[in-house]
Amino acid sequence: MNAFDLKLRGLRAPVLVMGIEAPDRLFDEYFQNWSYDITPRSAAEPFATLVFDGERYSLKTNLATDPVPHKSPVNAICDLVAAAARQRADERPEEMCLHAACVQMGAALVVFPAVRRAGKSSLTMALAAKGFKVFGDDVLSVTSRPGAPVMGNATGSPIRLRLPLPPELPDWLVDHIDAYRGPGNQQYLYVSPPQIAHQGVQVPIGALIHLERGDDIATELLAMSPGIMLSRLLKQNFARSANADRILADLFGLAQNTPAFLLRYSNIEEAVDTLARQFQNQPAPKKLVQERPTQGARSITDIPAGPETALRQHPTALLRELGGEHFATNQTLTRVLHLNEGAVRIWKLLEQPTSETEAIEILHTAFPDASLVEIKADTQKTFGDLKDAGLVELAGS
Amino acid sequence: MQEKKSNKLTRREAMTRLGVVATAGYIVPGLAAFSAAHASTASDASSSSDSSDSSTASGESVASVASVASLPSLPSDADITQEQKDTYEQCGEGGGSEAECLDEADITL
Repeated sequence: MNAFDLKLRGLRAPVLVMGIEAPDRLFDEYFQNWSYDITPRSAAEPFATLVFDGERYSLKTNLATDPVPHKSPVNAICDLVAAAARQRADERPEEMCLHAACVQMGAALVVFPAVRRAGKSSLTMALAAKGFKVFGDDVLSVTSRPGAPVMGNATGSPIRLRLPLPPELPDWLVDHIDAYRGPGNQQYLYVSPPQIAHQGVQVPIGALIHLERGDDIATELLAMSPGIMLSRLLKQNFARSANADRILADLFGLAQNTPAFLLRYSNIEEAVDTLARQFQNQPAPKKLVQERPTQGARSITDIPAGPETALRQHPTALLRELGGEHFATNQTLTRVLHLNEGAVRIWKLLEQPTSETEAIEILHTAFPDASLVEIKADTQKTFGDLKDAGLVELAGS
Repeated sequence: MQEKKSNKLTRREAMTRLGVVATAGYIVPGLAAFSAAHASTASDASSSSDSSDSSTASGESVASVASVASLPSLPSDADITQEQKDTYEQCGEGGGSEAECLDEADITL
C-alpha cells in the first residue's frame, strides 16, 4: 500500500495517507484555499492517518484509540479538518481554536459561535453569496497577543452544508451553492465559493454574534451581555494544551473588548440584510490585548471538613466578573468555572469564615419560602464543588 | 473554628451577607465547569457521522458501528448522570455527531 505525507499549510505535523491513488485529485476538491504538499513518507509523527483500503476510508487521529471508518471521503475529510483545527491549537500555544463560523464584514470579522441547528453554515454561505469573505464555517483559529487586536485566522476550508438544504433558501443562494458545489454525500455538501479566504489570512475580530433561529420570528439584532457571550465562547473553545487561566484570560479579553449581539431570525434573507446593514462598514477594532500576569497551577489540598467546619475563600482564588457573570479557574488550572448568581451568593458568604450549616441557616433565613431540603442539598453540593476546585480553605489555616 | 451565631440573624442581615436586595428570590447555585483537558470533546468541531450513509439500499448496517466508534467516552469525573450518558449514547447510535450528542444530552465537559 502506498504511503506519503500530506502537509497542510500552517501545521507542522503531517497527515499520513495510505492507499490513495491520485491524492492530488482527491485533496484538490477539498483544499482549494488551503495549500498543501504531498511528500514521501517521512519520520515525522503524523497527527492523523487516513487510509483507503479499496472500499472504505478510515481516519485515525492521535487522540483516538481506533480508526473511524467512513464509506466516502466526504466524512473522512470532515473529521480530518476538525482534527487539523485541534492540531493547530496544540502546535501554537498562542492560539485558541473556536467552534464557530466567521465572516469578514467591513474591516473586521464577525464571529458566530456554534449553536446547534442555528443555521451558521447556511448563513455563512448566504453572506458569501453577498460577497463577504468567509474565514471559516465551523472552526476559527484565534490569535491573542499583547499589544495587538485579537485576530481571526482563515481556515481555508470549504463550507460544509448539511443536507437536505432547507427548502426556504432563496433562489440567489441556491444558485450560488449550485455554482460552486463540490463533493458531497447524503449527509453533507462541500461548497467552495470564491469568497473563501485563503488559509492563514488574518483579520481582527470586530463582533461576536449568538445565533438563535426559530419559526416565524421577526429578525432582530440585540445587544448581548459580554458575560453570557463569554460563557458561550468557553463552551466552544477546544484548545487543549493551554491551561485554564490562559483560556479564561484570552476569552475574557475577547468578550470584554468585542461587542456581542444576539441575532434572532427565521428568514435568512432578512438576517443577511440585518447583518450587512450593521457590519458592512464596521471599522477595525482599536482595543488591544493587554499584558497580563499569568497564574501558576497549584495542587488542591483535600479539606476534611464536615458541615460544622468553617471555610473561607482561598486567598489566591480569583473570581472575575464580566457583565454580571462570574468566572474562575480551579487551582490546578484544568478547568474554567462559571458560577451562577446562586453560587456567587455562597461565595460571598465565604468572605467570612462560614460553615455549611451556617450557610444553610443564612439562606433559609433570607429565603424562608424556599424548601429547606433543597437549600441543604444545594449548599452541600456547592461547598463540595468549591472544595474540589480548591477555591476555599479551612478558616483556621 | 470560629463560633457563629447566624441563627440570630434577621432576614435583612441574612440578605446583606448574601449581597442581595430585599426583593431577591432563591436561586439554585450552580458551577459549570469547562475542562481545559477535555475542551476538545466539549466543543468538538462538527465531526461527521456516517448516519446517512447507512441508509443504503443494501441495508448495510454500518451507521451505529461507525457512529458509536466516533463518539469518545465521557470522562468519569464530569458529574454526568446515567440519564445523560444514556441520551448521549442513544444519540450516537442514532448517528449524531459528538457535538450534537453532547448538546442533546445537555452535557458540559
